Amino acid sequence: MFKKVSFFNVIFLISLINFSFAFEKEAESLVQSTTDNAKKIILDNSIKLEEKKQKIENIALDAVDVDGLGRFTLGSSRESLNEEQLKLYTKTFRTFFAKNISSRLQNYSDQDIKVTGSKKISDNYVLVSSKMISKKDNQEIIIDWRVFNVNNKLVIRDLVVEGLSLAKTQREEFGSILASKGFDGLINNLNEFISKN
Amino acid sequence: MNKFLRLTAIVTVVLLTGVNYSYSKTSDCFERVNRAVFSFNMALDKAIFKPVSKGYSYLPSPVKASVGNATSNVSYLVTIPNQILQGKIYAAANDTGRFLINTTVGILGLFDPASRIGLEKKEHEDYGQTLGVWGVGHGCYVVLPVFGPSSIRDTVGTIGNIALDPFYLSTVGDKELLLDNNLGDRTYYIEQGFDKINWRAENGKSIDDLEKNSIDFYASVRSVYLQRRDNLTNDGKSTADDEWKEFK
Repeated sequence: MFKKVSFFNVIFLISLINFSFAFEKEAESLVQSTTDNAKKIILDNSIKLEEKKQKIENIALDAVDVDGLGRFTLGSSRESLNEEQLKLYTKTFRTFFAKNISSRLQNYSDQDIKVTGSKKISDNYVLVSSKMISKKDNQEIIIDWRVFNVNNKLVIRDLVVEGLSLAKTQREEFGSILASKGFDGLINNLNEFISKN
Repeated sequence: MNKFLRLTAIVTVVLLTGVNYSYSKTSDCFERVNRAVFSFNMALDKAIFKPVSKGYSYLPSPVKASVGNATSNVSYLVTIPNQILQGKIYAAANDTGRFLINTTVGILGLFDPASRIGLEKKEHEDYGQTLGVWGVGHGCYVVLPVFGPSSIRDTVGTIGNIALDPFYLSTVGDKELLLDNNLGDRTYYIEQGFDKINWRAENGKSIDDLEKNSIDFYASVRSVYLQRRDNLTNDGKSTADDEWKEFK
């Protein structure tokens, strides 16, 4: 009896470990494939700049939980917004996010991103570690990616570059505008950014 | 000595009153004044630091590397005491070795032979970080004219970085020790100037990128500064609760 129970326990544990390991590996592979695909597009000289921007925006919108990021970025202020305001914010934030990503295209030169490992933080959250290696400057920058399982799809919600969280920085920024100009001021500032880029 | 006593008094007051505020609790108590000083600093940056650093960036890479090596070597005089104060004895021994070798064999730090013999570069430390390691919180966020973003804690640290810096004390601070009045002052301010220009040139792209992609540049710089300082104080080990764990 004891042997039987132990055997099933072992099988159960192995299946749990395998499931957990698979989640981490899938998260690593999401980060590596997303960055590899983006690099291919950026380095492809046969694609025009506007088309490149569009393709990069599509990759980012597919790999990132933009709506989740938008909610996080609003912080506690989201509780005081009504449904209509939330809808308007979500729509505007998606466009802002896409423009923000594509406007950074020109900064890319020769960097390579190599995934170095991952750590499971909770049942639906893995922190993937990577290094961005620049051959030109001979520099290495540590980037962590917060990957979540949202409705059975793995998505990125935040990047932490050398300890600086991009989502946190944006939340501080939005919080400052909300405090001084209110919700309408934030939407105006986002739209101003969108029209400029 | 008077200066030292004054600094000790300030540090003691901060230590006694400084509850351990984490980054998330650091408030911008003087935001209106800070924003005005920030605008002044930005204007100064655009008029002086940005164009000078742009010109500097055209210098050959070996020249820029040597300027970076030399200013970094001088900063070990602040880093090493702080490593000891933070209990990082191995790092202090490593950096003492780097300082001695690079100052002598590396000709006043212009070259970095220490790296070639395996003494690797460590993160620089300062008195603001040491106060942080000792449990002193930021207090309020402040923007200093010319110096840029800081906090009450880091401002006290900056005073320490200058007043307790042997390089400052032997050039500007002591008129008779190594160099005469004018030469001593000039040596210090030229070194400081090169240090700032080198830093501005190295971070030019990141600063421009942050400005271009921000809808409130002041708030972005504040956030980046406080996150960066906490990351340095914690040596990259996050002590803050991961807010994403609770996020739905």
